[in-house]
Amino acid sequence: MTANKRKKYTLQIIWFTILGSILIWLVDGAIQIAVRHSDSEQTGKVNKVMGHEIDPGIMVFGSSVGEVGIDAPEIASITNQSVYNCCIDGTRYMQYRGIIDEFDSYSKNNKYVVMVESYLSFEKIQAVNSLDRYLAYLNNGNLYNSLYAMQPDLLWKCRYVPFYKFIPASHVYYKNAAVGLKRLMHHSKDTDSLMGYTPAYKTLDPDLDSLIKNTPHFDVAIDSAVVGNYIQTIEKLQRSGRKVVLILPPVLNKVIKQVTDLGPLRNTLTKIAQQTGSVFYDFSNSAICDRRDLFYNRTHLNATGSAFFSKQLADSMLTIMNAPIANGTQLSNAAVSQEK
Amino acid sequence: MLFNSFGFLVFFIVVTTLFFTIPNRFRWSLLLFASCFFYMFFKPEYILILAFTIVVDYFAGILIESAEGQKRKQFFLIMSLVANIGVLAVFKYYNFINDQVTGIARLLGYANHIPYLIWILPIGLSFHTFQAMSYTIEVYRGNQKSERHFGIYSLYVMFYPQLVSGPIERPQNMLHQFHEEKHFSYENLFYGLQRIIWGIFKKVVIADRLAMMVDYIYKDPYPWHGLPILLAVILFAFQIYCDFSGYSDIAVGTARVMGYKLMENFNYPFRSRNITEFWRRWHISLYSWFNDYLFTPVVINKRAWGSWGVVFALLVTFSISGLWHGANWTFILFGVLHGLAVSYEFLTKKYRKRWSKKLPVFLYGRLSILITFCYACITWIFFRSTSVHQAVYMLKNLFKTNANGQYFYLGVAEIRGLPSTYMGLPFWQFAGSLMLIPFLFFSEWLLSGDNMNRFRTFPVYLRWAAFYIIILSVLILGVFDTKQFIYFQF
Repeated sequence: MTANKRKKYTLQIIWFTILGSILIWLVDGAIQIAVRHSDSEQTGKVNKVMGHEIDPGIMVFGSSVGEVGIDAPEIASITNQSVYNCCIDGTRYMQYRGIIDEFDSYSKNNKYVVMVESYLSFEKIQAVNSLDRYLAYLNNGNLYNSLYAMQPDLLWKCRYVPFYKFIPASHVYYKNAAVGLKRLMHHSKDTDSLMGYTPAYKTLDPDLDSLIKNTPHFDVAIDSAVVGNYIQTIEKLQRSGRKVVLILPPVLNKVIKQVTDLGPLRNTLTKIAQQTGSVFYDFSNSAICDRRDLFYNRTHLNATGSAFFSKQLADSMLTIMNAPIANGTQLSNAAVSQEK
Repeated sequence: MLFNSFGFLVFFIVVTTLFFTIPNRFRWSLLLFASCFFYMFFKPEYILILAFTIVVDYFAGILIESAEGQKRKQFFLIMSLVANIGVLAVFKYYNFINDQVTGIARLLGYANHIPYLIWILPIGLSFHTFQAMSYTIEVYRGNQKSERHFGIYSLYVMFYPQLVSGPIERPQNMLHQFHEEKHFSYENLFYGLQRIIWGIFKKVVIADRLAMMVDYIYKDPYPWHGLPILLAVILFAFQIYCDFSGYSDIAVGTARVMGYKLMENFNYPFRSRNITEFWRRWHISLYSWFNDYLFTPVVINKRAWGSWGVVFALLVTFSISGLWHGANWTFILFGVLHGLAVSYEFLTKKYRKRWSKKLPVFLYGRLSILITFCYACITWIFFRSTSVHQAVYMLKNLFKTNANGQYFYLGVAEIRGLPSTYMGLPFWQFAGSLMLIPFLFFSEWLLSGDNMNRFRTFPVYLRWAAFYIIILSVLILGVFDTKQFIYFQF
């Protein structure tokens, strides 16, 4: 091969690589920008916090239990506060920690942070659920650090290896890019009148009883390191002048009792509340828990149930707002008596 | 280590760079070390099995060559074959044979007390065992001198691009290449990278996307009837083709970048006009192996039987080739069905030639391709099914309607708030995945000819644009859930 040909080929390789990298970088960037403008479902919620678009008086964090269970407009109308339900399905504390930290870093108007927990809250998890929702924000330290703690290898690659983000991205990521692009082109404004709440217009799954019968009994997993981080988060929020309210929402009692004992979870939340001076409302023993018509599965309330529960929660919130309760008080009995 | 993983990308870049930077005399050791590392990524302890066959066949080769007299040569060859087949029998077929013993014992009213062995099948066992066996057979036949360099011989069995899923190479094609000095060449680099990119595209974009629909039906076919079953059967043909030929493309490309030429494993099999031709185009390295080392010796042995000797040899060869794929009756039936088809074609060759003249050439050709494809699809039902019962159910329900008299019912309607799906996918994903098949045909047409001829005639900007589109498609449309290649299990 002549020197000229060798030079020509070398230049071809260099140009091909440079042009290709620029092209992929542009596509990657365009997709990220589009995703950040999506208002679709859970990604929309992440976008609102990461884009510093929301700053309500009452902010609710949690998983799907809170997403379908906390009727934000109902609470807003009772408490006369702006409310946003930022609960994201499949997201336990370890995963939404970064979102809380980010919210805390910019919020000026927020006074109350409600954290809705379930029997999975303090379990140590080693895989990020639906990473697509967060891929566009991995450069954000708060979010990255919380996700990194769960899946360090994957998160590191996604942040530092060029274009690696494409590997874990599923069709949901690109669907959100399409939604975001559409919104960008039409200059659409936010129309989330439900303030993050997702009502579940469903009745109880008819197969639930047989499903429960086949579910082996399990213990609620409580990891001390996760609890330690949880306490740190609460203390950080309190240092910013926010009042933290911990919630254990209603569960379908007859059913849940067959598969697990929530006692250790209640004890942990009570201790956390006492240690941090936050408020813990335990609704997992309230009268709602005996009403099969208010649930669509053993832990999730349907739309009727959530309206019912949210009214109770709002009333309880009013108690704190109007007459501050001594730190660390457990209000489960108050909630139960209200319901009854 | 999977070819479609980030780890392999890093591994490939590091090994190839080191390969061209170190002196030639050290390259075999680099490749051998890299191959060990590559294999040990799956399950480190199984390298001992490979080491066993390497040691046995290395010494067997030398002993066969230096032995005086045919009987002694034959003895050493048989010893080597017994060792290799023994490894296969223990690790791959032991439990299957034990199952059959249990069945027979039960029929006779006895209980089988032979214990089952619980272990994972070493990856690519059938491939490297067959490659090792081809060495001793070729030495025995005098077509290949025994390799005295233990490292080079080990590399022949372990060369990482083709270690776990072939192509099953012959010593005449590979051993001399490991002794030659390889120089960096842009032609090899370009050709190799093109093959790698195209192979990855076929695997992660086409095969793994189609797999979502195919797996959805095959994992529980019993509620399904009609079109979904038919589609799953047809799509599996394209899935397995893209999966295996994609692997072979990556293997050939990876070796070519370093200057090594591996044999081609596929030659547009869906253009075959009969099953005999199909096997000249599909998994070429395996079927040429069976042709050379099993079919031809059996035909020679049974030459007194005339045509029936050939039929006998075909049935034996294809049944064993079916069993090669896996220890299950479904694989044996897959082989038998192909054996029957090839035997039929052999016995009716003259008549079919006469019929072909009665039809227009164009029509006969197209019809032959269609019939061959349909037959191959039917045999793949057995290949893909987990049991004969499942395969029979699939066959019976290919053209049946469901309880509501619907044939075209593909999906699950919206239930409990979940959206409707078509063979497990949302509509746009389902339709998009189906569109990959015409794209595959178009691309294969474009790339057909020696060294991607048609494509190479395009101007540079068009070729670059095509590559960028393929790379972006791999990144955006690719399924990266570390799904293994189908043929790894063999």
